[in-house]
Amino acid sequence: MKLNFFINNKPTSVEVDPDMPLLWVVRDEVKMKGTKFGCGQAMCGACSLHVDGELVRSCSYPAKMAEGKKITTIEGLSPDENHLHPVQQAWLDIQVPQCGYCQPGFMMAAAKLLEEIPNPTEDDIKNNISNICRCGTHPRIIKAIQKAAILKQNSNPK
Amino acid sequence: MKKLRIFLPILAIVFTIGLSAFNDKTSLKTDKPDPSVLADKEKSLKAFSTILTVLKSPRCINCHPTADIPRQGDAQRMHPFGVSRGVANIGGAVQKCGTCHHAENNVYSNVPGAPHWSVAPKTMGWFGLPDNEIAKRLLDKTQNGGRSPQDLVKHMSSDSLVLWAWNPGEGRSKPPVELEEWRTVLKEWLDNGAAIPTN
Amino acid sequence: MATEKNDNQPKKKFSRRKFFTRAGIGLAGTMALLYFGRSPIRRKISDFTSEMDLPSGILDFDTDLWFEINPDNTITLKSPKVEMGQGIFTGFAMLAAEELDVDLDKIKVVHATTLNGAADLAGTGGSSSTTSLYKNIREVAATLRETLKLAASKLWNVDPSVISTKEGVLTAGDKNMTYADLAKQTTEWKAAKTPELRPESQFKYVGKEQKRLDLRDKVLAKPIYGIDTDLPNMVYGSVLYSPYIGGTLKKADVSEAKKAAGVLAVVEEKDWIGVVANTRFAAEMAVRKIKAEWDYKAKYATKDVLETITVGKGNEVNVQKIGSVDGLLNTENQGTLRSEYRTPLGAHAGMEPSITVADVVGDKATIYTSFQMPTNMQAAIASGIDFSKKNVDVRTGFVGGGFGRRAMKHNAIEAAKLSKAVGKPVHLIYTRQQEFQNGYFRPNTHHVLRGQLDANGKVSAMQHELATADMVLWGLSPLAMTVLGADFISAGHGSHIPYAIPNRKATMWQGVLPFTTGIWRGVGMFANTFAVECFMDEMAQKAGKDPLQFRIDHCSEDDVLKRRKTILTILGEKAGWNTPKPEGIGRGIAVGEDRKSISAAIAEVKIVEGQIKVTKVTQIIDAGKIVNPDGVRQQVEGATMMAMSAALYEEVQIEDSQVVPTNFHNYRVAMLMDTPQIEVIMHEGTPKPLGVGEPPMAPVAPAIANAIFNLTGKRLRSLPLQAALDNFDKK
Repeated sequence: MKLNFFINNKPTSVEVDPDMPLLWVVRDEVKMKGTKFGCGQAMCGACSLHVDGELVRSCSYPAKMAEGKKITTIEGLSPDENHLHPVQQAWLDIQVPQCGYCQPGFMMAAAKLLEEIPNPTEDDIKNNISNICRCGTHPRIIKAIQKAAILKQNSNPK
Repeated sequence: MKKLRIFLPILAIVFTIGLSAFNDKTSLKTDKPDPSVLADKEKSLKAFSTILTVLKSPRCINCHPTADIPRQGDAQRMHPFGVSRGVANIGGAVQKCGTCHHAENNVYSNVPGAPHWSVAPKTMGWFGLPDNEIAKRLLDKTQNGGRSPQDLVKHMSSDSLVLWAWNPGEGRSKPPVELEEWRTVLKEWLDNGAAIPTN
Repeated sequence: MATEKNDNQPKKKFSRRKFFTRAGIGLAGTMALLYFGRSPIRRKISDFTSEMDLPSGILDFDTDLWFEINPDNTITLKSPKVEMGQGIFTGFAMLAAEELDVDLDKIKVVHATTLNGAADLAGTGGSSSTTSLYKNIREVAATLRETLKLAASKLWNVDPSVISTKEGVLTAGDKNMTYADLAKQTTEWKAAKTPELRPESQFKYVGKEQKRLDLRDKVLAKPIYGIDTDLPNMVYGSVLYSPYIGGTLKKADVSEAKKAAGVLAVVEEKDWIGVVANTRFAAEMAVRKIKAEWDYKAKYATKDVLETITVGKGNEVNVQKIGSVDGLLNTENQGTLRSEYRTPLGAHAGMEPSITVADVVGDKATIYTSFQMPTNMQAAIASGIDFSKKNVDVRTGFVGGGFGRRAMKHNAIEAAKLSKAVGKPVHLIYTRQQEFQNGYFRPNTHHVLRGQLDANGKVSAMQHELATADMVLWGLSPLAMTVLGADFISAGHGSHIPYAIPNRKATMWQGVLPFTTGIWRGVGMFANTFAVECFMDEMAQKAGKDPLQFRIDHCSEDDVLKRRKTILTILGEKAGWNTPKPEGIGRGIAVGEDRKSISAAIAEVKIVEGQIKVTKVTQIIDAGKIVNPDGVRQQVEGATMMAMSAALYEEVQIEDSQVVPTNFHNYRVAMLMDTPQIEVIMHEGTPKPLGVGEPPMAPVAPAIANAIFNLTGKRLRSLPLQAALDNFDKK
């Protein structure tokens, strides 16, 4: 089945099985490896990306549902590598990642969180992101999201 | 065979309607509680007891929590990962039900899905309630989204999320009665006065 | 000296290697052999359970195996140790920079491959990379610097002693040249002698906070992990394994799988069936169409595991014996206490699944993976597909979580066979279900502790009996088994009683389970410290003493115990041990020691609607000399989270000969909502750098259990604690 959608604003066409998870479309067909496989059942969040602005766990999202939609992956979160998204900048500043494998998913969830809750409390963060990290970067993720909130507000003066 | 399957329930419905129309006429003739009215109520109650078995099956009641967290699976474990109804019953502000559940069951991951996948509002929460309490909540317009019994039956017999219960995907049991029987029973309950148990 | 990547550089023969050519030895097994190989006299078992310095497993320190000078005057460091999140690349670069005279950001660290770089016979683990290579890396770097000087002296016809080096430039009088330009012009190199190392007082980087070199790529989500490998013409595999413990394939119908869309090949082996297809989706969907029947032994369940792993069953091995503990057997004696503890089977559940991309062409195999022990994988593949080892190059990417899981079982042979079958590179991963069901586990343990108080309320005798399963000795020869006796290196690690108690005895009982158990971050320390430190709390309670003071009272002036006393004292002050507790909060303390690295923690907990909530953990570590302080902080925070997760929630159950957990819904791990406030204190109590990754795993579980006792009076003696509390409340 031929599918058309936008990835990071770029019109993209692929010829795939309509039920193939969007994760594998993005990784294996479009060759963008930033979105990670973790559990295959939408439980860990490593494959999180945005579809039409909503947070989606792409390992359990059939490609056919992406038809005509706008997909943002971790590669498209920042305008370019010299102008990092506040979340990615904060992640660097706070030195969040260890093995780093789950972090793209966390950053995509964090970016969505700041869209919905611009000034999150610690509880807002804890209650709204259920991604899984095994290295134990949790305390730094919480700090980095709060730092990202400040960076974001400073970069978007009212 | 297929034709027969559709035909039989229709026949049953026509028969029931005819029967209830007849009963209505006769019930006007006396002040005493008419035995046939009682019989209707009995029929309705009997139908409702079947309805209850469906409402209380994991496929239905798992997403009708009385508190905030839906249940999962035939074992009815609490939905893990901090999932909660949220302000609009579609999950949190960031991670919504739709972050993981989509318009249909996922053939690859087996994550269940149906249109407008969501948690029933708190006033329609049934989990852990006694039968008569579930029944009361079901009929109470202030709690059931302002639905008349007719609206309820329509919702329960045709809503796509409700119907998902009969197409739940691998490893998930269906409600205890078949879909056609479910619709018949709903009709029977409604047409015989939409009676519910009082105690 | 190589200035360009050369994948098949000729290398000299290493005769010493022949001694270590056995395939399939686990990390500590290899280390034990290395240790014995070095040691003229067999040490007593008790010596090395607690004190042995793990060797690096690396015997080659030729500069060209470690470094390459690039045309842009950066230097590539080919790390034989794997970066799996612990920050080792940054630490190694810092050490090298001290002697190379280049700025830290001019050093690019990559993974050595099994054919390009120094071979690592031990693999990455045991918290030993920094400790074991702290001197070696600086020596190789210094040798490279001096070799560059020698080459420049020949070119300029000056004495090497007049040449100086700074920021990647060699200077002699008015002559100067970058390292890169020199390397381009030099065809024949004369290796310099290894010079004296610069004194630590001159360190520019070591000991000062450095940003990690790998984090920019990780934040930008660059394709750096094994799973990100993408080769031309690459196709995808999926493998069906037995869902039953010890299951073997009885019969299978693969006809539907063969017919499925996109399928290129179906490979049937003794214990698995593999499908290769154009996409992973096609391969996985085809595997689901295989109708397989498995032979397996009668129903096996958790109760059988518990029965096997019970003190008094299996082989008994002495770990420690000081004085006599005979009087402890009589529990009627006043002041005598006996308690039993258990810890469950645990999974690693690292986020990147087992991954191999195998590219088999002719008689050569190139393997791309994420693995802690590339040399073992090389040997396994060589024997698995009958190739010469020198024709198998294992290239590991960054590892998406190690925790000991990437040391043993892998899918590389399957990938290599599938690649051979289709003549194309094959990308193969474990599904998450397979990661749980076909991996290996932290062994469960059973502990019986006995203690005796004297008239002054001090412990006069203590005994620890541990029962656990075979771990790293798995795969060793019967001779090695006889020499080693039991797995006291990892599963038994930490089973000795560390306190200054006049009469002490520790033994371990080794049981045999029908599935593989193996190393797991801090494995033995995690379980044994839980038992020993909860028991110390019980003894303190019996003696009517404060748990912190009681521990200090049982430290002596001996080196390690003195350091233990110091960090306990500092921890008590900084964490406010003697300050009033907030309402509804319980406080507990514990301390652990892992090869002279000491970690202690104070945990604060509350219980909300029956759920244990850890609100704060203050952890202190004395791992000696610190290379990168923020790197240490990260490791301690991470270990605190992982140990808390294992302490509260994690447990692998077995039912009907199947592993119960299949994904994260039935293997609960700690998440953001469970995150306590974590404070890290670093104390450099000894000049030598010691291990950091695993030691802070040790004190967390007992500190939490002791805090729960402090809050509720309930003594929870088994992990996971949430289940133990639920069961306690049911009784």
